[in-house]
Amino acid sequence: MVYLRSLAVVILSLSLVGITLADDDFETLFGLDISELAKIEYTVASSKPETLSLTPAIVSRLNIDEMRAIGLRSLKDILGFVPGFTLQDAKLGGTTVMIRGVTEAFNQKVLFLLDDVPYWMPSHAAIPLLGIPITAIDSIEVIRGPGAVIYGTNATAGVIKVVTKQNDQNIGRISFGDHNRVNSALYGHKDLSEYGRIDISAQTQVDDGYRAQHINAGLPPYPMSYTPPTTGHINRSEEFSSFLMNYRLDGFHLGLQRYHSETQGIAGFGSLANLSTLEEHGYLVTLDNTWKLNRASIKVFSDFNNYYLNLPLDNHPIEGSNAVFSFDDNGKNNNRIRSGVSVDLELSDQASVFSGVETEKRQVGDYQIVSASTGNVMANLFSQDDTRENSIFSQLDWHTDEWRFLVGARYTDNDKSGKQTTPRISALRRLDENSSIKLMYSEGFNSPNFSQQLVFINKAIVGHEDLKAETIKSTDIAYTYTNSKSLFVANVYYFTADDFITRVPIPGDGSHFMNADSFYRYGLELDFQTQLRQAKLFSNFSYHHQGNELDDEDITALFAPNVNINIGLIYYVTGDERYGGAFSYTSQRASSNPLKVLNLNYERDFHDVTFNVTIRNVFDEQMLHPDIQDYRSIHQVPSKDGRNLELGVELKF
Amino acid sequence: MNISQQTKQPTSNLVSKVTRGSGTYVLSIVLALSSLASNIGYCGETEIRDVDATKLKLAYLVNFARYTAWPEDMFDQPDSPIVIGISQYHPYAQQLDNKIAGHSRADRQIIFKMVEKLDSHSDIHLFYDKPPRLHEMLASDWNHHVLTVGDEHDFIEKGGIIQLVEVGQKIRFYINREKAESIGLKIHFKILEMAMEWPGRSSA
Repeated sequence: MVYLRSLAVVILSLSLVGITLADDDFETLFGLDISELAKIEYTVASSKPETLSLTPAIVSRLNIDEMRAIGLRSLKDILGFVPGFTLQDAKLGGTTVMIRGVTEAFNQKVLFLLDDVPYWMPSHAAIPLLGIPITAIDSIEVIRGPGAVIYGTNATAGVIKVVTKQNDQNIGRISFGDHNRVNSALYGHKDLSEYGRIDISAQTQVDDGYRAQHINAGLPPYPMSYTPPTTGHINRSEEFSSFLMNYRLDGFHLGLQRYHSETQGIAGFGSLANLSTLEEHGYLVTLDNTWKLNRASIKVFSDFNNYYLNLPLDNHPIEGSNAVFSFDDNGKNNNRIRSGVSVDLELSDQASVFSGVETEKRQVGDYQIVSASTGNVMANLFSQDDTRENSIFSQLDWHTDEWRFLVGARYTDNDKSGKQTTPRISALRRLDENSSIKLMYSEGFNSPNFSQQLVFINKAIVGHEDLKAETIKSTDIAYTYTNSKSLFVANVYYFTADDFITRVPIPGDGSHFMNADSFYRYGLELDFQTQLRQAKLFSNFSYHHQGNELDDEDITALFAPNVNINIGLIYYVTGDERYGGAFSYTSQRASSNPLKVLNLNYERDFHDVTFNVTIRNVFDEQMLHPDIQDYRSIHQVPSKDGRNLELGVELKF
Repeated sequence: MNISQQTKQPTSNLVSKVTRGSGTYVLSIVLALSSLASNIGYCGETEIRDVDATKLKLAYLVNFARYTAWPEDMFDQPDSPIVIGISQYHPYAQQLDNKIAGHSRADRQIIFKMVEKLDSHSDIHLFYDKPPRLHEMLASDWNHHVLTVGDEHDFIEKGGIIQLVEVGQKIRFYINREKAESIGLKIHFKILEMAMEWPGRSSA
């Protein structure tokens, strides 16, 4: 509590040094000439207040520049600030997103969209949290709860949508941090006049890594010449490179994305003898064209996504020394190919219908254990396979001045996990110009991925081919108030999960993928943002009633927090200088203590150059999370460094 | 499975803080606080930051009014004001109703007026609203000599004159110059030269 009190004092102090409500900016704005207006960037969070209050879903939209100003400088950091989200590093590498306590180690329950295009690994359902150059991002939109009707499979816990920018200014950025972490990023654009526009961005990070402590890790289930410790440190680094290009001409869009990342952890049997590096490789090619007619918009799209992992690890018993879990042909067969068409038809000024059909083929190559020394295949973890999923959806949107109704459904036919129809019904009552109340019901559908069905690593992880698709049925009631300066959202949720796909630890036999018993959860989320004369405040609170509870039917509840709190503040000293801070609190989960993390940031502009000083984890909290990969409650897994410093410079040109 | 095997561990003694050299952090905090202290009390009135798009668009309307010339018969008196009509449903309508927003190049006052019924405001020179009222207005003959401004993606195609667009967190606009001139409006080159090119039409 001493940290909370400290934060309160900081916020109160800032409020006493000149923060007053901006009562009327019009005098100043109206006095500006149009050439001066053209230079002003508006704030996205409040640019469409009517949209947020009238959107029949629980949506958060975060502006990348504001998040940077409060000291959150990566996509992962920013997502951790979303109400109801908990992010932590997984023990084998990568980062796991938990939404309302719902999670899976590789993020199978979260749908990741790059400008509306789903992007995920067909074998394990990993998502590219390190794959989008930070300079390419304009904003991040998040839907909490199922979003299956429009977006399809994987959207059971929520949807993360990265919206890329089309700015007038080019950007070059480099930062230096502890442990020789160097991060550099670029964004550039070229206006080709009648031939369209190209936006290009890239980012790379090198990192020596920090000392990451595991507590109560497992022991290998096979004899070794020595007994490895269960508590100890490993080196944890995060290195990646990413590239993104978008070409747009009227309604035509071509997108190219490629990335590679390496993070370190422990894999296989989850012991400190099995140090590993999670290598992810992915690229995405997307083509779409939109025709805007008088009262309709038609979009035809097709995308190709190659995405796979390699997992070199120490001391594998079959090889006897070091081995690599990898896909044959360097992952060339690990693809998703999706095509479809959608039509947005305006029936009248009050009604529209959004419909579409999609077909998607997913395929994987042989997943093997390969000797690190000879390159010989030692064993097959699963064989090449493919599946096709076809779906059709339609959603009617009808509104009057006071009401908005949304009724829709998606029919999905997956040749492995069967047929499902997932409906969505929303009613929104506009109370006045600023506020609304929403009642929403939606279902999410999630087919098991290849790994969950096929993998067999004896005494480590075992899949089951007869896994059924999981469904989450969610009901939300929300009150939203927005005006030009403030946003307030309060919502309660209740969801049931059927055939929930999860790893279940089996004593002496590693973990098995299973369909869990049906369970339910409920909770409360609050979100408040306000614009002050010289500051902007962001805050949110989420309560998950079943968090940190032992429950035979819901083994994952113990690993969800009861409470998340996030508070962020930007204080503008002048137009060229600002301070920011972001505080987050996550309550106890399983064996892990509550976590309180404070980041501070200082930025100063000199014409087109911006310098920043960022101190992360100011309280030097030891970042230990419970093991949400295998749900071993005594294992505490490291996630992020202690207090660390970053110095950065950005050039706009 | 046997959940009871998963026991909660007492953790208060499990975590030992990592101790590090802290000189760099202390220096950074001191520098930051020094800078903060030197600026305490500053309350920049002229800085425009974190303005929302809705407000920014209103400032554009004022500039469009400032740099547009209407036929003289659109004014009752030589000193009659230029009236910007905005819907009663606009979030700032109450605040701006009858507000003087500045002066035009011909030294006419520019004032905002909240519009409740379209046909009762024949004195409006610039009208900004959203569908369906804007469509209703474009379809009527009431809009003779009125500079219409909207932010629908196909506003110009539907007969509007200036279409506001949001590009990279900035406001930009298209102009249907031919339409403006066809109803006797003369838009100053300063506005025209800042407009984006509208495919198939002359904008500047």
